[in-house]
Amino acid sequence: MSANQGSQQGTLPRVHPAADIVQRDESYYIVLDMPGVKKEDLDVSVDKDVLTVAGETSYPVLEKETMQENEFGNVYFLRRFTLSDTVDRDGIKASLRNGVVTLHLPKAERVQPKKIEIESG
Amino acid sequence: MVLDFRTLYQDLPRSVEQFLDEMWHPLELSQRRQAYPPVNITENEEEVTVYAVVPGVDQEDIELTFSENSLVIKGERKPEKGRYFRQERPSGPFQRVINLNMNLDRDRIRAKLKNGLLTIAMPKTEDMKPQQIRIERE
Repeated sequence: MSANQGSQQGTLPRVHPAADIVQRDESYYIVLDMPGVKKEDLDVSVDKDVLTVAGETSYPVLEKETMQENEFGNVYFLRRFTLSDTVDRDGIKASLRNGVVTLHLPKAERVQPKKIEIESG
Repeated sequence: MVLDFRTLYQDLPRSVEQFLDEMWHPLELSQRRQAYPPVNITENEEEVTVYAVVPGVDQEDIELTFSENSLVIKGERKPEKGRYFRQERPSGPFQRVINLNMNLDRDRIRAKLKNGLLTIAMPKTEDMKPQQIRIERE
């Protein structure tokens, strides 16, 4: 995690982004709502069994404007997931689109069903 | 439909963390969020700007209309395909009407969508802008 995030973490409210976990084909997908986070501010890391997704929003600070309605602000998103052995850790990919982070977690090869040939005796 | 197969073992630390989080921030978004999507509205001398948080919604799935001094944000959040183990993200159609109670130049409204943030800038008409009044000397 970068030093910048460490300093911001204390000032911004920490929020758990909403997440979906879906299985599709031979992979798991974790989908997180992280609106307002730029690609360069998104941090995805795997440490042993723990997958961490973090990022802070960077909505511009308005100076001349007056707020008529204020329902959201800058936040620090942080969420951790525990990975099971069925996930191929090296194959994890992350993408960010429209404020949604999609993590692609392929199943480890050894847990994919393997057909065993029967030898004729 | 909400399916949630959260198991105690995997999620216990997280649940505790979340619970503590909520204790520290009793008035966080989750409790204040009644209407969807959440919006910020700012105003300066020139224009009124509405910011709405709509993560995961494509530009073509948002419909913006302006009539009778109110702005309508309509859209749909599409669910992920596949078998759900956990679903926390809302999905389905949404609509929010924002009453603005002022004359806005509807022909010059601009909207953009970036990183899940929808920004709608609406310039004020000339008669809504503050006018300085000169005091005449006697």
